[in-house]
Amino acid sequence: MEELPEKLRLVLLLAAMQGYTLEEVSGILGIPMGTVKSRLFFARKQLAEKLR
Amino acid sequence: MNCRQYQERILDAFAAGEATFPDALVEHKRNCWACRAYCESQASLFYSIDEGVKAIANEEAPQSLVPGVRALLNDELPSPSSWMSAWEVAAVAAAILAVSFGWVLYRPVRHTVSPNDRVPAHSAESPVAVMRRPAEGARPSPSRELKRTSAGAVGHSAESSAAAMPQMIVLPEERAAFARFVADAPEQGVVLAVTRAAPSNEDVPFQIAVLEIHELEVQSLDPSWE
Repeated sequence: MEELPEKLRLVLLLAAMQGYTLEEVSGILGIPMGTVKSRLFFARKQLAEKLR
Repeated sequence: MNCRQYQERILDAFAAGEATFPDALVEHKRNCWACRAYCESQASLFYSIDEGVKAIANEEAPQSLVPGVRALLNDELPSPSSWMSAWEVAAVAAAILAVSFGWVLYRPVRHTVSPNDRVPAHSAESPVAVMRRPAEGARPSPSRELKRTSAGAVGHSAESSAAAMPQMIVLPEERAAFARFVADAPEQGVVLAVTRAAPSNEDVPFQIAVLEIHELEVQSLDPSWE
């Protein structure tokens, strides 16, 4: 987790928190919904590649 | 597509959180044991990732966190003993005020103006400015007399005080008569006269414009006036 870029790690942690939907994460960070999804995608993919 | 490309699609699908795969990928996975095994391993990996991230994100703060933060804050704040108490501050302020008030009341007077010395004899070129005090407050007091400085000018403090008092401009040829008036009429409330240099009156050029008035014919808007 610490090796992830800050913007990817923040989206991943916020999305993993209970009660926060992707729309709420978008509102909290002030970024578009598509950006939230793409950052979440790259965060999960980078984590998988590091853990492979 | 070959197996490597299919496995890349599988990885992207899991990373995107997609629940279903395209039909072509499902068909390939059914016939390819390597891609099927890869899909199962990736499913297990992403399940572990999701569970681990949830655990980190929803981890409760340890019990020692709040006491630790309070201890750090207490270390950064200065100790109460290093601060002056409110009573000490009030005592110091009262002492400063008392000393200042006593100095104002009992400060030594540099020069007491006598009635005959209220208007200087020299500086004939300068007019005289006179300050009056109310008759009821005309009781002479050494501490309240203004200090006279050099002839024709008053000190800065006296000048600032004079700004709040009425002033009178006396022509140089009338200065002797005015001095006698000041000396002989204390009962009229004149208790002090301070001279001050008049500002230099330089000739300022000016112009007079010719005013031209043309004839005007004023017509009434009311037809009944015609």
